[in-house]
Amino acid sequence: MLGKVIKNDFKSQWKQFALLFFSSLLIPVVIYLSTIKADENLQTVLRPMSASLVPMTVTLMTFVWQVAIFGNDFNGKNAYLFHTIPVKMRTLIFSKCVFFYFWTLLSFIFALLSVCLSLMDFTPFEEISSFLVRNWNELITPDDYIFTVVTIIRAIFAPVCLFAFICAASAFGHLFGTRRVIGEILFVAGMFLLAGIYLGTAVAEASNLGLSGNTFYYFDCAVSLGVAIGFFIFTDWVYTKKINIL
Amino acid sequence: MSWKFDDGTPIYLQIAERIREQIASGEISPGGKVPTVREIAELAGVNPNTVQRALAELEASALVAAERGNGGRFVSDNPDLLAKLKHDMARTATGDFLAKMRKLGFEKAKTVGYLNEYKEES
Amino acid sequence: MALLETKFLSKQYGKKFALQDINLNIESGKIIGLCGPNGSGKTTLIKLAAGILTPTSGNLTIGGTEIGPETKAVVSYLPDKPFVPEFMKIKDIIAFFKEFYADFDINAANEMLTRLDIDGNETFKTLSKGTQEKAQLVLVMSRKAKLYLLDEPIGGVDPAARDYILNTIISNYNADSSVIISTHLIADIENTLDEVIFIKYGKLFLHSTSDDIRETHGMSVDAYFREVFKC
Repeated sequence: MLGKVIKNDFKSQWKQFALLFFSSLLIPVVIYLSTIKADENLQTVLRPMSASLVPMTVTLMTFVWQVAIFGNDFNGKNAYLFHTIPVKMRTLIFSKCVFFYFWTLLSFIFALLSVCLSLMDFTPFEEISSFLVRNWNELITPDDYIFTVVTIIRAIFAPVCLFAFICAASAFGHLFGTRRVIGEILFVAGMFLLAGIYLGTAVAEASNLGLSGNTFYYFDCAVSLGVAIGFFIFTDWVYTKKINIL
Repeated sequence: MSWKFDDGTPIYLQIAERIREQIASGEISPGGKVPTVREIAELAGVNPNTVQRALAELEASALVAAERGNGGRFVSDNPDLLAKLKHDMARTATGDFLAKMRKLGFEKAKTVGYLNEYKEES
Repeated sequence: MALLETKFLSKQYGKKFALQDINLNIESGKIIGLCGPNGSGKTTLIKLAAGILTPTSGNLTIGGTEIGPETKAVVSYLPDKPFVPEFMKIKDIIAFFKEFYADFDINAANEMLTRLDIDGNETFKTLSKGTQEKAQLVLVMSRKAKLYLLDEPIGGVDPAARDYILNTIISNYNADSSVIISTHLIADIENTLDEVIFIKYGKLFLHSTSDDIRETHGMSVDAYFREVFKC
């Protein structure tokens, strides 16, 4: 079933993102080319503008569209269809997660590309590769393997944690029935509050207990992971046991 | 599209009656095949279970029987049974007619007079 | 085993009971009318069986199983509003159904669409309301499901389409499945119903065969309904 869901999600999503990503390459090129003959002032205004607005738009739009697609399928126009196919909620959520990761990653790549194309300056790529080459030895034989590994894993899972947050907000809102948006806002606000409290108390406690920076860091990674898992379990529970499509 | 039914009487009895009429009039010939449950249901716009009950009624009176290994139901070719059917239906029709005439105030004698005088249009 | 069974099924919204203590037992091979005035709880019951609502208390099983992917695989649900994504083409939603429902008969579906003059390349949004309803009906009835839940399938449809819908339901009939039709237009479908369920103010008023109602009360189900739900 997962394969089918992924295939179907791709079919219904790829066109809009392809268009977005293509535009993110086209627009900088068009701006660059059309300002070749123009005067200095125009060049120094339009090209940097493109270099900042286009990547911002690509990443922001990708994120917003993802949230909208999730909302439409789980709560909105496509809810009837989605909740009556014989597929487990966790499968549907997993597929959405896969695409969240995929499109988000692509959006960053295209954002970077659009910056380079705006200024016809591909040094960022050169810099990244030379950075990796220079520091490869240090990265793969560090003094602290665990730290590197945990950091890499955390970076890889960061989009997943963000997605878990989106899911849980949507699920929490779902419990509010027609006043769904209020629920979602409450959730986001509440989570920010809790995060602030957590950081404040946790850091203070850690220093009181004399914990090393690394230990606290690992603890924090574990907490993030636990919270993300908790968010997914909560979302699955709401959309399976407390579903209320009106 | 669908047959018209009276309220107040179970539909399956009305369907059974209608099929009896078709048998009596020869619309379905003796020994001939009765339409299937599905065919009757679709024609009449009626639930197939109801049609099934109607046919069960007819099977109970041996007017209709399911042939083994042949699938489908067939009208009896027993001449006595068919004659009795026609006779029973004729009696009922006569009784209904007489009751109607009585309501108008005409007793049997007067009614017979009407029958004799009646010239059917050609 | 009952096809659909509910035990003290209740659904509350705040303090209001949409359904209260519904006890039902529905067997296979029946065409059942779910009748009641607007707002009586018919749609709520159907949505609970379809799995897009969860009960507040009591329980509901289909084929002895709790509502979930296994029941959704054998339940074919026709909502009373459009459910096909607007910008999907007809042939795409057909492919979707074939993909996700093992019991979907794609040949039957295409045949019905041809007979109804619905072009597979049309976008759902561009179809007229009546055509949309017919298309959705085709999708739902092309599945060889165990339980069909039709929520007001004949409400906003012209008489000829109504006949077509009822004819489709009758010709689809088989002893392994049941059809629950929720409606308040009883006169039109009375002859196709084996059993009727009356829901009044969220409570089960009666569950009986249409023949029984005719015999006991000497009137059609439609007439009896009018009596029961007199304003």
